[in-house]
Amino acid sequence: MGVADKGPPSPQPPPARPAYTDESLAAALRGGVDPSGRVWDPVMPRYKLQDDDMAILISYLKSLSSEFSPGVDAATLRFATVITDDLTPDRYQEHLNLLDNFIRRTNERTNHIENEVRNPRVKRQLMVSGRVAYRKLSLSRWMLKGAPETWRSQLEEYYRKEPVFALIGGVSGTAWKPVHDFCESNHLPCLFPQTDFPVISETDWYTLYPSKGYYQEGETAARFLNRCDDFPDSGKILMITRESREGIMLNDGFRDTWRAFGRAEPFTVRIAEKEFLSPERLALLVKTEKPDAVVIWDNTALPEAINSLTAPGIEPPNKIIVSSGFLDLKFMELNDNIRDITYITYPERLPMDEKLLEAYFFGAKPQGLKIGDGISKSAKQTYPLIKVLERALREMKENFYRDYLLDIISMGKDLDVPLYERMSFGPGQRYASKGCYIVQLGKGSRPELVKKSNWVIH
Amino acid sequence: MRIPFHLKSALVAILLCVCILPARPAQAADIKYKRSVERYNVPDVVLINQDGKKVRLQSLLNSDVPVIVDFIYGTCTTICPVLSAGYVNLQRKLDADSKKVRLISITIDPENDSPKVMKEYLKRFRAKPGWDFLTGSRADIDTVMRAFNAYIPDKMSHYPLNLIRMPKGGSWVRLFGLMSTKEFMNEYLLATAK
Ligand code: HEM
Repeated sequence: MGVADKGPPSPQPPPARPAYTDESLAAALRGGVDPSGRVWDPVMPRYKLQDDDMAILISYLKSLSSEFSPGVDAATLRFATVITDDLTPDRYQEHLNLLDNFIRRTNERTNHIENEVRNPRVKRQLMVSGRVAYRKLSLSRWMLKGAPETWRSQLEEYYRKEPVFALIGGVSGTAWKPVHDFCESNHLPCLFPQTDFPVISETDWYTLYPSKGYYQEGETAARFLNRCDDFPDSGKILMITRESREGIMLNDGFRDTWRAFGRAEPFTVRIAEKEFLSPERLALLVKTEKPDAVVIWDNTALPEAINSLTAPGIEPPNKIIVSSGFLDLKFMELNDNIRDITYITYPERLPMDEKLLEAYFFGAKPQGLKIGDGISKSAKQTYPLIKVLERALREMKENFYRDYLLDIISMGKDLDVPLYERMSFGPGQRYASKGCYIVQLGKGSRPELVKKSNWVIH
Repeated sequence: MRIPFHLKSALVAILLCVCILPARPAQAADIKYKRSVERYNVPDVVLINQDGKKVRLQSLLNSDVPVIVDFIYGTCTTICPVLSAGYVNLQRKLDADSKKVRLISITIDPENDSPKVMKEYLKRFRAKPGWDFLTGSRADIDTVMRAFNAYIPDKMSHYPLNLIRMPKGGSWVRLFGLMSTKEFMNEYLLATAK
């Protein structure tokens, strides 16, 4: 700093250097001299970058926030949660209650400490340690009505009235893409929306999904088949795809993955949305195509069509693959004599494993998820969101930047949760649960699920 | 403007290779890493490499060629790029001899690190043949980490570690901490000296 005069330190800050331009920043990063001519401390490396690399670095530096993101003011940090009107309240009410509880508890703790703790240093200490949130939290409900094509303008309207810092949770039974796209355009984080139809992208940034939903089941089926020693290299696949949102996502997950393995395209038959997959049609397809494996992304294939493949005169394929998500509990209706060749994608912990863990997750009412017997799916789905929020708020402190929030979550430790074997992020990772089992049904009328794969197949 | 993630990672890779590993004089007082000689029992597990091929870890490691092992993951932006810059620089220094050393990176994020992710990672670092990146089941990866006294229960509590297998006798030089290229090269030459 200044000249070594022996007087008291000057109250003036050192003269500010001129703002960096692209050129002076590049020169400084290379040579270590700032625009005022001051030489940087040698601890700061001198980066001898070429022009194109330097341009990447500088554009990255420019992308970093210099002001707080929208959705925060001196008193409040605002969140919203999106609910779509294709759902009945029993599908989302508990989710909303749990989120409200979380917000209330956090605010109560903050209020309590603000009112009770007088000593500002102690208060500061409590903030730094994450015991107090730096702002009161608020949560709005953004209810979307009508067709998904109309959601975007509804979202923009909500956002115009009340810019929020992030969307948290939310539930939809149909599309999620309009919300996803809205978040991308507004650089608005969206944490763990409950949807089976996440947008699959390797570069989109703002939505963190619990998993890839149906896509992940399709992907897993392809990975499984690719690893089956008894499935020939040039094996033939008959894929039957219902033209519904579910069927198409399962189909795409399978097809993309199978292609990436360099395998021959499956022979794909589409079932129109109003059509029913009849036993005759399936039997005929199997007879004429003689596939080594049949992949069925259709929720009308059971109980009749698949079970009829063991009828006399039909040579059943070596393997049949179906989705537990799409069939729901119908997969329990597989006949005994077809269970040996039928493989089911199962993207969650198996019920028996989960049961064992219920006490661990909910018994000691961790962080306010205080629920009695029979823990609902909704509570299990909300659990990781609350974990992530607690941690993120604690670590974000007063740095109310959306990109920072996403960075914190990306760099967080893996999550132990009831529903999935493991949820984890990492820089750039956007789908937390990466797993899906392949299971088969055991024998009998109340069959067990038998694991045929690890949680993740490569 | 948002920079796509792969560009950011590329950036980290470039910066590290270019800058962070200057050749510091390797004076004894200057050494910041911990060195020890250990014996490990390589577990008999089958892992999967960046080409999706199954590989038996024992056959890969128990070889006449010097082997180096580290633990990284594909989307890591902290110490993995530094460790990997060490690998790349070693490959460059050895140049034509680079096939004489077998570099193995084992993922500590086996859920996310598919062959595709690992292949892209190697490409980003301009890895030459002779550097393999391995994934597998969580259970197998845990077994491997434990066998090397390198168990990392969560990738976010990752630490820098290089293990060099001495071709003669099969002991391992355990190097804990970040090293400059020169230090890494010296350790390699020392461990593999005839
Ligand atoms: C890509 C990586 C990096 C970039 C883009 C970067 C950029 C910068 C810039 C622009 C400044 C000047 C700030 C100003 O004039 O207001 C600075 C200062 C500084 N940086 Fe870095 N830096 C990087 C990495 C590092 C690393 C790895 C270290 C040390 C471990 C470091 C240590 C410092 C120090 C000590 C200063 C203050 C220098 C002084 O004022 O004398 N930086 N850095």
